[in-house]
Amino acid sequence: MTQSLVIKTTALNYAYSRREPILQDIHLEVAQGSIYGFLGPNGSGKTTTLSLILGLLTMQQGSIELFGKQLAQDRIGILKRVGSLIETPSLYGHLTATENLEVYRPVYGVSRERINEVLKIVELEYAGNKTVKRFSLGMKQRLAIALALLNRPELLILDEPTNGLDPNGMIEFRQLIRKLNKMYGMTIIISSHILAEVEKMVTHLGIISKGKMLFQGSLKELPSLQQHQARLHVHTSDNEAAIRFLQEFKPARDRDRLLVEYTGIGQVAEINRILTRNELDVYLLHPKEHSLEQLFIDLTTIPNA
Amino acid sequence: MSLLISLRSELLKTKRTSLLYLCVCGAALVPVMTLFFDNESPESLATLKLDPWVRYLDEGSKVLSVVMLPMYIILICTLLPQLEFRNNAWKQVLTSPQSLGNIFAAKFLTIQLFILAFIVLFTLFTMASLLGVHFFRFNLDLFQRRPDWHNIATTNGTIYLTVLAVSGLQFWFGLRFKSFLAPVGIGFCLWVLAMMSAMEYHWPHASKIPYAFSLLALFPKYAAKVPLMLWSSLGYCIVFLTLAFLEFKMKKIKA
Repeated sequence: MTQSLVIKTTALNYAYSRREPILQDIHLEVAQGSIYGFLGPNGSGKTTTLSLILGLLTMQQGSIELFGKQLAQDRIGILKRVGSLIETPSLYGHLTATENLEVYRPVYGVSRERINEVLKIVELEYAGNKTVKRFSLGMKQRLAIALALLNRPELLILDEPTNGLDPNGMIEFRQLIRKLNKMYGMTIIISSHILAEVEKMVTHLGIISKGKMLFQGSLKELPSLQQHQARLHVHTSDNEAAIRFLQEFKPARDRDRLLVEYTGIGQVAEINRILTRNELDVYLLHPKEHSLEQLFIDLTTIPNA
Repeated sequence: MSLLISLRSELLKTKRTSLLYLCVCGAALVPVMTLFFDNESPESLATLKLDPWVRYLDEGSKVLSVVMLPMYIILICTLLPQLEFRNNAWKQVLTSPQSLGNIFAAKFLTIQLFILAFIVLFTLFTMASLLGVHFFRFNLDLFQRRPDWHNIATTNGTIYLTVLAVSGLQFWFGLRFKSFLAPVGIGFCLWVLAMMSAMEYHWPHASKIPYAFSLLALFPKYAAKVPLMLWSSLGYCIVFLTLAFLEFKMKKIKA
């Protein structure tokens, strides 16, 4: 990433107890103007990372820089430039949409007109006087985004914002995120445990699993990882024997099959020759799917993937 | 200025909440009940007629400081932080550009404003109740005398200062427990213990218990100790608030 960085964490480590490290050596880099998808299975450390970035958790090791400044040194100055939504919407059910925004309006020092503007951006202008407890989950989510937009943030941090949204809600949400990025030049970091949810809107990806970053880069960089990660499904009459014969291809068990690495189509033929030469019946020899979803699953579930 | 902004935010959050109803209805409860259900004996009526404003307001002050105000404080100190817990709103508050000190102070000041409002409303309702007694039940020659505003202000000021310690401690409990029942239960138990130690067992050190200050300050027997109790209440309040703020600041997980 050569663009200027809005978020930069260096060697971030965090543990709730000594025996239980949650984050290990996290180097997160979010470039200005990007939509950064922060992906990982549940419990992988996404919310902990984002909570540290927002100062909701006290940093233990490493450093966090936002807009080139250390978070600890200018927390309030930095938070003035950030909008956030961490998991479920933080709204007061007994207040109307407008009142919820009015609670924070003076804190951010923005005009009353801004309330109508943000309600319009999230298409809730018709519901300004309705109490939030009468809102659907989708409406609450949109109002929470309106709240995050109140201060015209340069950086928007959204943690699992699509949780509980129906398919229509998700489509609307994706459109809104693209609009915010394109029209207002907002840098957005959005976490999810479902790749398909964010795949269509992000420009950059970070994949985290068990507290470690497994991949970080632009979507364009992902195919090279896919190439590097190319694997072949193999199923033979004796998979244990096949593992011995295919050592150079780093075989790994995958349920009743094997996964072996390969770099070109020529190697598929070579693998077949090795197996048949050793009198093994080959039932299956099939390149593993190269979809982003499959890659994500591989990275976050298969050991040594 | 930024503290005033935070305070304004906190006050807006209380709109349409039980905090407001509790303040108005709680303050009206005893004066209304006294108006309709209190059957004065001929002796007490004679005493009341001697100086209706002073006697009636004195009786009201006792109920206020012994029961109503401590109970009210226990409830509001729990209900105010519950606005954040129940709406899952702490994280939004803590990621807004406000210092932790301002957030903390604004919440405590909101509670103090509610306490002051309760005392003022209670006094006004008590006076209205006395007018009701005069017009609908007994002729008290009420307009021959005027309320002693200085005495009312001094009594209410003393009552307010005696409950400062309890408000500091209950505020701490309200912030540290997510559950509604824990701070209310602990507060109620401490209040009962304080009442028993002062009234039932006449414990010589009862005047050092924060929950007993508002009760003992009304006893002529403890008149000499009132200034000490007021300073103690203020001191306890500062200590409790300092500890509460340190815990609020050091808390590993802030939302």
